[in-house]
Amino acid sequence: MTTSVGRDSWLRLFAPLAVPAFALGLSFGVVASQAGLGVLAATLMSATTYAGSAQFAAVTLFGAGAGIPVALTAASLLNVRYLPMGIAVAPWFVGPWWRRFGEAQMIVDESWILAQQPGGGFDKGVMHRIALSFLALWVTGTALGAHFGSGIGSLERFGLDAIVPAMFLGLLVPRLREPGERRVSLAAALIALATTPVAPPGVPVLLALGASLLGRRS
Amino acid sequence: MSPEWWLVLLVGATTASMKSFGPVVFGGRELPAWLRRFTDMVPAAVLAALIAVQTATSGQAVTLDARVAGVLAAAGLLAWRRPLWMAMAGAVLVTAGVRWALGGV
Repeated sequence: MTTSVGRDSWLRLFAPLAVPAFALGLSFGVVASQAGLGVLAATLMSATTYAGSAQFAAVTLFGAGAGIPVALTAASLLNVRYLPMGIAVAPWFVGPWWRRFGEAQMIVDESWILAQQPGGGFDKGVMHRIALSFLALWVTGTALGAHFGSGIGSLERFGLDAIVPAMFLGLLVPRLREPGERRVSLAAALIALATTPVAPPGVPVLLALGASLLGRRS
Repeated sequence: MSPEWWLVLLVGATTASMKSFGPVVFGGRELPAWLRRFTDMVPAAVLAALIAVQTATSGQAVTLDARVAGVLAAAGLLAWRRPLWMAMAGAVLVTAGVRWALGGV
């Protein structure tokens, strides 16, 4: 498989994510400890679940006394986008089922998107490297955040919450040259915003993926 | 087992099954052409939806705050053909600056 993202340059893709990965981990650790999770539970959750937004939602609801079924439902809705995202890259996952199962755990938004190749390919090696680097910082951050608790400043104060959408924008721009993808992008953004007030978190992104039906590669 | 461990176990198990559904069920096979036409467009849709949600929503509200200014700054830098890292740095600086100027965190 030829790759436009070379073996070395995955690091260049990952480098700007290092700070937000660690900072997100820290803030998850703080939120988890405030919700009553111990350092070990919070850290193991980051290592095994490895899905930021779902973890934040589950732990916050749990801490507010919502009960496990509610927390689990909210987390599942935030993760439901992984169904179509996983199907889209399934042809690149080969080998026995348990290996495909294990490798699929390295799918997170950032690794899935950065591993996409121009012209429709997917570089699983890039996905692994980015996901494992991100995971190391996310888990370390969680452990420290859970250990030190709320003495840590927020992600927002430093504007770090804008870094991931800015990166996604940079990755989207080259795709906008194609009319099909331009149409799909615009529709997806509009669907996500329009359904946010009426659908539970996570569902707007899933609905927005329906916009993919509007495009056709020319 | 205490409730916190049930939470870790159950959220972990459902996340793992959702991430792996596609690769386990459809792994290693070419997707049919009608499905490919759809999945080819999924990256653009994922990107656009995540940008919209991460920039302009808080919980279930559509919000215009400092993040919008930051991401617009990134858009400007990208339109001006600056590299990605510069657009990301611009987004962070503008977001932090606007937030500071508005006096809140």
